[in-house]
Amino acid sequence: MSYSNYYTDSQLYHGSMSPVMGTELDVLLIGGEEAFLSSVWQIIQTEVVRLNGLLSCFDEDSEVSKINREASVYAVNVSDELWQLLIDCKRYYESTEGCFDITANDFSKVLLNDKDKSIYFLAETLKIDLGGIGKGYALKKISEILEREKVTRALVNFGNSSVLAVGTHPCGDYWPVGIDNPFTHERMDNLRLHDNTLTTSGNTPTHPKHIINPKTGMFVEEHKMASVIGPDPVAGEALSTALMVADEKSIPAIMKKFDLYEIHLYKLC
Amino acid sequence: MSEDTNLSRRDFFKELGMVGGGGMMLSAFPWLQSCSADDKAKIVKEKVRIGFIGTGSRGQFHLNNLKSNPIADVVALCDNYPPHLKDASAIFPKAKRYVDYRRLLEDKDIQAVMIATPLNEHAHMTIESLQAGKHVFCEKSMAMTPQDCLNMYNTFKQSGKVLFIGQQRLYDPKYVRVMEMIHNGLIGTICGIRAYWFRNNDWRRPVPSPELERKINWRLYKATSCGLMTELATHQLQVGNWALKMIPETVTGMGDIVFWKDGREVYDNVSLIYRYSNGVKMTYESIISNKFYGLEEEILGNKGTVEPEKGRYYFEDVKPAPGIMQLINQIEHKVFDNVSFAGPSWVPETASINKGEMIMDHMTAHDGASSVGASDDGTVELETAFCEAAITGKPAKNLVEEAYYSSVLGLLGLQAMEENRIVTFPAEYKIPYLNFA
Repeated sequence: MSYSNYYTDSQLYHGSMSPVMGTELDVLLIGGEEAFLSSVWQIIQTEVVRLNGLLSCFDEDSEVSKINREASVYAVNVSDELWQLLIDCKRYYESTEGCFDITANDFSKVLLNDKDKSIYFLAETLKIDLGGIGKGYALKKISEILEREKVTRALVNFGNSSVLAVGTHPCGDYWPVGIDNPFTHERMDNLRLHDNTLTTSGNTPTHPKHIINPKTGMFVEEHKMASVIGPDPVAGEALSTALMVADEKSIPAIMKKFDLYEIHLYKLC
Repeated sequence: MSEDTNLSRRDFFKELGMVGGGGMMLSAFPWLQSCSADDKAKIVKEKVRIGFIGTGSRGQFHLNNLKSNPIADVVALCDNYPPHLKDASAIFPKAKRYVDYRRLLEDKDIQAVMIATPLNEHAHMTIESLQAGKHVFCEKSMAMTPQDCLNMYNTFKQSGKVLFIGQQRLYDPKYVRVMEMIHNGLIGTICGIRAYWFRNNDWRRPVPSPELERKINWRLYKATSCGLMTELATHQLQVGNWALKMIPETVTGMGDIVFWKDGREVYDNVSLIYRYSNGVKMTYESIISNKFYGLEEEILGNKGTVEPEKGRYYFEDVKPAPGIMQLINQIEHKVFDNVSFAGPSWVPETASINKGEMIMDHMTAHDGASSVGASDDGTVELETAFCEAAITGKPAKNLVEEAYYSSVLGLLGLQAMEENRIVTFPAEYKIPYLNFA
């Protein structure tokens, strides 16, 4: 379901959609007539619904569901789009020293054959879940839509954890975004976004167990939070999740591989 | 009954994004900009000399507020009921005391008059005060008949003086804010308004001696009062017009004395329908023998609902992130500030109850039980705006028009109930404003 409103004085179009990818999406498009910005919002909605179908593991008809049903029996051919995502996931699995893992178990048992773009699971119980990067990938696609449609000022908030900033706030040189401690609701940081994305992973009082450490199979339960700012929202998802999972010793090595990213680690009490 | 802390006048404007160069879209609230920042700076050390007529419970409520108002000085008090005059003198001991308001009006030292007398006194006192060259604040409702309301309006227009009517919601921050949101399309097209005020008390004041019954309990008798329509409904009818930017064209309804059969003459139970030209209806109910639902003006749009008395709004289906709504508000007011919304992924609550969003961070909501006045409901802001206007001599634009129509609509509603018919807004009582312009 969706909601939208156009604020004439500031030429601001607000579109909101929920539930989608397990959360809600808010899009602010600035600069343009209502009809034009409304058409961009329609394109975004259509795209996000499509991606939800592509990546969801709850939708039985999605490509990911098909893979999860069949890839342990035979190598399943994958669409170009999903293939590229799987390749990225493999790359992030490696660059995060195994901390980001879409199988939440052992990605090394996923065989990706680039000759026929197929996927095969070496373990019968293996499943992939692209939920962890879904919002980031959606932001990437939304960013492409905005560029194509020449929208030069926008802020997209996908479930608070994935934020895309295009251009700047109409009254400043960047988009200012505050981050609150989810346990105390106190302001912890004020970050600046400008043509990049902010991705945050962390535990909250209402959802203390949702990140699995693939190496132990246990939930990450520490009160902490990782926010990363950088150019690629998919990489941001992988990196912020990995920083929640990684032990203190492996963090510097992971950070080194993502040197384009501004990293903030917060201990929450 | 307050549920939050005090909101100072400065905070009021800050909340609305009006400080630091922030540009609130004041065009929709012209009465708020009748005193410019320059004017405010100029008059900061001045005090308006006020003569106060009618020092009963509502009058004393104002007087207590005025005591701490730096630009107000109450120099004269007037009441023909000695105990009330004595009470008021305790608040302003130096003020001269009058029993006859005409003597007070002769006092050349008095610049402005505030009137909180029974309804039947409003029209002639306001008119005489304006004619005596005073700026006037008169409590709502304006008068007992549409013709008297019109006479007050016409005298005001001819006098060149300032007239304020005590419709404090026009200065209540949460109303100002939510009206802006409504006018910006937040809840889409308004399809209906359900207004009501429920209390459970007899609306009586203690009477020290039987011959004082009609004087003290003036609200209950037709010679001095129009009952619920003028004492309660006018506030809420104004809210409906404000939201819709229109005046309804017809009204019908029924009124009865259902519970308080104690010799009173005015209804204790009313139910009305006001119809606007676009087909939208505003229903109005008031019952004073059950208080469960309190008071509200439920404004129903195709995209959402507003409950301004509670300070809440609700989206129909999708609920945008609160931080995003705050960011939109800031962009609208040209404010550049950090809004917090980023954090760990947000998962929708499983509960299906729509609890709504707060219109503002700092707000006061009232249960409507008091028949004197409530704190932080815009009354202090309204009094201050009147004092400012009385000093600068600049009337608050559209304020009297808003009050005029809510007063007349209350009276037409009463007429519809008494005559048991549909009343159409009479052409002779239309003044140039909104759809009747």
